[in-house]
Amino acid sequence: MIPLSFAQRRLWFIHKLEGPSATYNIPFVLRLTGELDIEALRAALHDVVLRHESLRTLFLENAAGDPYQKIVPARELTLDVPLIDVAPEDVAAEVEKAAAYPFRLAAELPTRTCVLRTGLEEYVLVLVAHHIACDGESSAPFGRDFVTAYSARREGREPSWEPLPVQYKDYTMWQLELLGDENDPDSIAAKQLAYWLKELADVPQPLRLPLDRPRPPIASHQGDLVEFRLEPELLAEMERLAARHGATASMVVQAALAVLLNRLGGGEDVTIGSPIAGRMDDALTDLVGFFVNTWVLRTDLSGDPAFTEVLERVRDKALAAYDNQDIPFERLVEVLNPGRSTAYQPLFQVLCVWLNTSKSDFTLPGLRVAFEPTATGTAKFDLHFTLAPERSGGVLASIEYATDLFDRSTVEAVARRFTSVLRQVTADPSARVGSVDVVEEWEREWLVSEVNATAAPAAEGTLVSAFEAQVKVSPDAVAVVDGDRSWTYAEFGAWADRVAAWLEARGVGAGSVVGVRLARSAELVAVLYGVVKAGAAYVPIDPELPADRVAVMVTAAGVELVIDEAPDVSECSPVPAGMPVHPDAPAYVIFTSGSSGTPKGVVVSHRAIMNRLRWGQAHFGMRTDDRVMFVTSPSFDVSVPEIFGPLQVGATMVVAPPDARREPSALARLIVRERVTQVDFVPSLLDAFLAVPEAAECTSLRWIEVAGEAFPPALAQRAAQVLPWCAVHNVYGPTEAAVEVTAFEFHAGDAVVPIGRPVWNTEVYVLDSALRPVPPGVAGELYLAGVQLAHGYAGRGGLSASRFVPCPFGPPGERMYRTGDLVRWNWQGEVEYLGRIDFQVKIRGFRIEPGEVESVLSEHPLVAQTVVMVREDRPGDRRLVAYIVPVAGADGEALAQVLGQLAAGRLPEYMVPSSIVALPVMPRNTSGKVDRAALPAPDYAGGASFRGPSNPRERMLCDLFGEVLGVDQVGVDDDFFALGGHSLLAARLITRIRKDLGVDLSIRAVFRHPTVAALAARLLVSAPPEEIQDPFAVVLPLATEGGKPPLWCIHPGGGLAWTYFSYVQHLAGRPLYGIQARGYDGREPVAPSVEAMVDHYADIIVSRQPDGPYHIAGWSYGGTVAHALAAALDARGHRVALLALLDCTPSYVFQQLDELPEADARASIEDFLGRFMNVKDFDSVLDTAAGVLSNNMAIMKRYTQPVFDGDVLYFNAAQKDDDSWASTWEPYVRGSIQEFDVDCAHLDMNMPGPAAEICAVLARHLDMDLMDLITE
Amino acid sequence: MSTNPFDDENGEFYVLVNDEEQHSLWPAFADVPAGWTVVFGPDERPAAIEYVEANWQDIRPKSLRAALAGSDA
Repeated sequence: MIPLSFAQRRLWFIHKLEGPSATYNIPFVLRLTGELDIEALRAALHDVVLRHESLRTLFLENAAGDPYQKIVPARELTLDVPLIDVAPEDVAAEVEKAAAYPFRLAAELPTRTCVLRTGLEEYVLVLVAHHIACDGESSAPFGRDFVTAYSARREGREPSWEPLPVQYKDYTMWQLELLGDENDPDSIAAKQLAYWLKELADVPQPLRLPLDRPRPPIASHQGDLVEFRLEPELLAEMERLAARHGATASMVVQAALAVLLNRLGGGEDVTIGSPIAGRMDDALTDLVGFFVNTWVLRTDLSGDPAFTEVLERVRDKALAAYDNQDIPFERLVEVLNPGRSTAYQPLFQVLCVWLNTSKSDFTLPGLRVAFEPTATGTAKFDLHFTLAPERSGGVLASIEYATDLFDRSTVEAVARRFTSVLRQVTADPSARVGSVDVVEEWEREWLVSEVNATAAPAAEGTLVSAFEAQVKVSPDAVAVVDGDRSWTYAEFGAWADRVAAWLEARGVGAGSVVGVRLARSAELVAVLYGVVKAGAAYVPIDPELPADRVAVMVTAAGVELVIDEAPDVSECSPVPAGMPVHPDAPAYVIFTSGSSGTPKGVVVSHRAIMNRLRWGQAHFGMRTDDRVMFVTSPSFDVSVPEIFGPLQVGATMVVAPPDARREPSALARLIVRERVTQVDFVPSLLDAFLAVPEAAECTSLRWIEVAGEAFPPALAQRAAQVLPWCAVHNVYGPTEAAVEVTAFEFHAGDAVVPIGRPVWNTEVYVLDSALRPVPPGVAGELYLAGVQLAHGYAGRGGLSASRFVPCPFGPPGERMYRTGDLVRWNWQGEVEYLGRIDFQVKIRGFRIEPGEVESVLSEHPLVAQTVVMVREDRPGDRRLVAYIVPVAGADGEALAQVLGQLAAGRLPEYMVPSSIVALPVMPRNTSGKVDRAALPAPDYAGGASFRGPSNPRERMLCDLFGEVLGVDQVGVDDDFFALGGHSLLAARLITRIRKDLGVDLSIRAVFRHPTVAALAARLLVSAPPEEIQDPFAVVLPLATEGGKPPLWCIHPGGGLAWTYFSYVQHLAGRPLYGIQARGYDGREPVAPSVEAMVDHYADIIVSRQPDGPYHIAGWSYGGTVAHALAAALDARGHRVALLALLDCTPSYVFQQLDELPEADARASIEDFLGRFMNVKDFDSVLDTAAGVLSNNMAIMKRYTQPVFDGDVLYFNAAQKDDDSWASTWEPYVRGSIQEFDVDCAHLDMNMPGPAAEICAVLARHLDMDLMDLITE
Repeated sequence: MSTNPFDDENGEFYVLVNDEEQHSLWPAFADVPAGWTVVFGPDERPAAIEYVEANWQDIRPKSLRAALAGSDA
């Protein structure tokens, strides 16, 4: 048995993991002009394939699951080289098709050829080989041999060539021999391994690149190609620079690429992969085969080195790599065992290839030959740079990129930036890396000026003059409403004047600071107006704050007077203030919590806040008939526009009661009663608000502003759905820049919710750590400049001087505020919020954005709010922890479990939180933001302790894990890969599972479910547990425990209800019965019609459960039947309390389907069940199932769907090209159709993640029904 | 992203002042922007902060302080 070389083994493994695909195809396309002898060509190809064993090798697997090479003997070799006539315009498509051929490595040769004839004497020769059989360097011997053979065959001879002294199989054996035993410390393998282990320890993964889209949990490997050229002068410069430093041009390229990646946000520890020929002996030069090895260049860019220093570092690394090149990369990955991911390649995600060899000489007699570049439409890496020097002296370069991650325009920009970096470093090699600029000239102009073209007339006046002017305009309009009380502008102005007089009598005047410690009320508003009218600044103090904290604020802000009860001003005369207030005078001082815990008082001037108010009034089109709610805590600066904005334009302020935010339904009723047109929300309040039924009655709302925290797209979408008449605005800004400085209007369907564009007279900059603009798509820190900046922090000069800093972009002397927020520009000129800079985390070397994890968790309909953070409750043990608040009524513990599965299915595993903690409410500070310090430490005990198997299946899997891994004791929560498992061992594991359990799992399943517990659950989906006595009975007892009314689950088209086994664990305490088709017992006939089927099922259900309410669910065909069944039960006078339809259509859609003959039905069932099934006599089961399915489809075509008089819960399997089928049900449902998107394919609705999501919704509705029963 | 240049505990800083007598730290590696004058440094961060604390106690802009002083007078 010939083993596989290390390199082959990895590709074989990927082949097993992903199934046949074109990802590792190497196409070779030649345009031939002239007289082609097709028979000679066929014979010549036969000769070459015969000569190079690697081209006729199959990759098989022995009983233990280990792969081996089988060389097809010469006498059995047949090649099919079709000649196809193709119109010239179709050539590209044909070539693409051929290049995308998915080789099945166990069943066919790893190479294929065809000839396209496009005209008289015009041909295109398409050779496609799988990488497992060849590499880039193979093209030279292949070309040479092919030319020799064709020339000979054309003359009717056999090629005369020296037999090859060695073949690839010999290399395979050598490789093992030469490297020696890793366990022998003197072996080459051990020494080289030791070098790489040290070199690549703790590489941060994955490299951060300016992605256009989030990384999917499983890379699709779809790709595209961007080509560009380097001019001859640049290459000459690169070579000169290389020569001066004892390096090569390729090292200059690698060093420059490392710099580029650093400048694009990749950090200071950058890894790049590069190929190394791997033909360790001259005898191998003439062989076609997969020899090429990969090495990882790890570049340290810390300390802002000069480029020459980087180049020297790269040179030294490359030389060391050369000395340690024999150990296969595949082996390194196995030994280093970096946290594995199906989301990206291990250890590096950017590959850089410098092709030294020019294209092989390919002259065929009688033919003119031209190479055609070919894209395979795939991408193995995130970015794959190839640079090939040309005869012209320039370089032909390309970047193959993953279309999962990048848009073409982004990669084109990467190509331009790369060229620019090469020019800069060759022009000035001693320049520091930090000074290399990757922003193009036009971009700089755009990033600094165009996006910031916000100049607008400066806002006149102050909070005082703007209000007083409005009092003169509309003295009799209603200014303030608080419960049953209301005041006109004239009345309210007079009240405020009395307060001002009262204050002046107590020595308050220009430059004073007054603390206001009152609950939200009209009295509070009057006091705030009185304070500013007196020329003073107000400091809001939450009445619930502890005294020591109040003392800190009073001292820091220089508060002279604290008002903690509304003053009686009836005796004061409303004398208008004398001196006008200076526009730069402080209007308010609002405290925010600092990272150190000491609150910081932000001093904001009238000029700053007036700009924000005037912008908002214009931007949102505020009118005199608007009724704006004052609902935000006065300690949070979002309240300032609520308090002062409406009374500057003649609109009305509606004061919400102090506890309004705690009771969303009361808030909604207040909006309805007071015909409120505008409300501010923080996202968590909005979420709670949208969940109450009264929200849909708030038709008076014209717009809402959402601020304070990241605004998840799913929440914005819900807002747009619940309040379709109301505009939804995301607004952003720190207290330090007068409430808000950017804004974005959300429209239904938008995939992201940027924080948007800057407001009037405001500039925003996204800068790197050298204070230069970063390109669009690259993360940087957000800086703000313009008229809205605060003066600074009261009494905190040092802090002010380090946060409000000189602005290098604006007019002389201007300041900018650094926000500490990580953002990026999108190409539309909008800012996208990514998270707090100080919240960015690294765990086990992985870079993690908690915000990304939060947004996935918050997509779940039962999640009201999430916060994800890193905790280090035990020193050195850093863990990602998610905190969730469920929507009202949902079970937090159950939801946390579901989210664990959701996260595992949606996120790369390094981003899956190790604990998910459900909380009744988030702890909040006074501004309404989450108080992270108050979040409780999760109970790690459960996760950390050993958990043994709890059922026979888990026990068996624990044993198998232990056996394959050579580990004594395996717990159900132990991770296969963490215990030392790697690709090959995973292959062995599935072989053993197949043998012992009769279930055929994919390797991918092991990656997705690497623990015993998860794999056991995965197996449960597919095969009935042993304790089920008759898995084919019409009533299948999925779960019998529990006293609640049962859920009836109707079989899909194949007639079996096993798919619902995975639902059991999520609906604990409730019996679940499957209804299965007649006919599986081999005696009863199949149903003659759907009417008869439905009658039969209704009889059975009523005989088992005589009284309602009935709960019915059905997936696919089962949904169509479930609906009919619900209608039938209803017609018999029974109450159907829940009907759940899982991704299905009414019967008329079946009429549009083709007939399904039994043979086809059998094939499709085998395809579905064959993956799982562990029953004896599988063939006869298949025959029965085929009959059932075929009949089911046929009778459904003749069936007319009835109308069901009730509500429907509809679950859409969102991973489909079609729109959701929910709307097809509208004519057949008299009640409401509530739709839920489940992120899975139609066939995967029973997988653990989707099952958990679906059941979470079902459980909620089932329990609600139960509660109705109890309360009735 | 690496550390923000203004938070770099190992960095060298100037203290700059503009016409409004607003003070600010400025990393020594970068060019001093127009409209700002060096009044201290380069020195280590704590020294620069200490200088600011000592010399910029009223953070209001100079023109405002002047206007308010005028109105008091």
